[in-house]
Amino acid sequence: MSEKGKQALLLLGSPHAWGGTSAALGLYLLDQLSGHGIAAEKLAAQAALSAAGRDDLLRAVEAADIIILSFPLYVDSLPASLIAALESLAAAKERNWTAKQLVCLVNCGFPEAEQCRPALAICRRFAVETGMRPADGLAFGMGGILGGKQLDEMGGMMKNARAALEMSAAALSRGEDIPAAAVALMAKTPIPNWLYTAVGNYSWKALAKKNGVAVKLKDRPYCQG
Amino acid sequence: MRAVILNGAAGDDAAAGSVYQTLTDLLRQAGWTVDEFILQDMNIAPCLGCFGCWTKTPGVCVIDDAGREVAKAAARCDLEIFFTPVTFGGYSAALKKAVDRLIPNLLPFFLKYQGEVHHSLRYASPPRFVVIGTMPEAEAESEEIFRTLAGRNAINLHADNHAAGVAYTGAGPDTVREKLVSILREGGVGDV
Repeated sequence: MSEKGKQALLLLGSPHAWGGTSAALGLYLLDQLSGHGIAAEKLAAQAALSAAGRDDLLRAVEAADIIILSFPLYVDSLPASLIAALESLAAAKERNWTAKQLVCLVNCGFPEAEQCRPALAICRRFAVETGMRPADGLAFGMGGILGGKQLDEMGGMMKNARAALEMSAAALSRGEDIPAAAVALMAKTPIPNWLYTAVGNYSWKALAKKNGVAVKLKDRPYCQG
Repeated sequence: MRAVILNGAAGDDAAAGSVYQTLTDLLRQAGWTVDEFILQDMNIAPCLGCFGCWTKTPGVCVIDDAGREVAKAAARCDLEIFFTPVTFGGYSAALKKAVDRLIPNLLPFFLKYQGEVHHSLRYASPPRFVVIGTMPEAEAESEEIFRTLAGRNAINLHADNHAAGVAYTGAGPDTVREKLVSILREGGVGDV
């Protein structure tokens, strides 16, 4: 039986506000947690760049039992805005966060979810340094595949991701960590790697053509001479 | 030869500042021209994740701020150095805001590199790549994460010559100097 009165906070680390892959994954987990009687709160890390935003973030973290960081992999790590938000939390005085669980949802544009490993480790380290309990995290490759859609709109293609998030919500509602089975399910690629990279490479050219820069795609504007 | 240093330390971090001073002295004494970017003081907006630098203005970020100057210098240098206080095992937000804006220097196209999918290079010859962290004292888990992250960055930058290490700010100046020399030499900077 799930505990009543718990609260979860989704801290979004993507600049795409609530319309991108990180939001879709985070909101699905939040929705599943709600099904277990856990109240949901959400904030964007970019809003925490101001002094007022940092205060709001600290209040939201203080109130939460489960903190979910959902973000895209930027150069092998967390986006700068999310790191800034975590730095501001780590600087908070007189915190006692030992009862809080920290969960990480990271997605990358490469097919291999394994590439997210340093980002997961950084989140874990943040939890350790701030006295939270690291509850592990889920990494998803091929993040570009959602294209702004919600998980429910993706049919069978995202069934593993949905199952992983549902398993995780059930575990978190019991105060447990993310199960290893959920980690493995989330890391499964929705389509073959060759198809993802072929469609991706085609899409870059198509977008450049649409923007009238197809012939400039490989330009080197900073070459000397 | 030109070195670019992206310094993500806070201005009031005197201990990191001392390590940084030793680093720039070493490079200049070895004949390097050093372009310094003190990121804490620079107006660099966060990456929008819009991919406009690939599909709208190829090779140039759509945000017209100091992030463009950093990317330009990084594209033209022989040695690229990230300098940062080790922050949860990774880079400080000040460094990361500039690193996130280096994406225009890659091409969008996927290719297989070292057994994984990565982006292709926009510029032919990647510079030597060195990442230096500072910590008050040894802490094994953070250092392991830091070196792994730097190694992953090196793969994404296709940097064959790279090194990463941590200097302890609590150590004496000679120890710090030896550590920096060791990291630089491992990264292919043999003349320090």
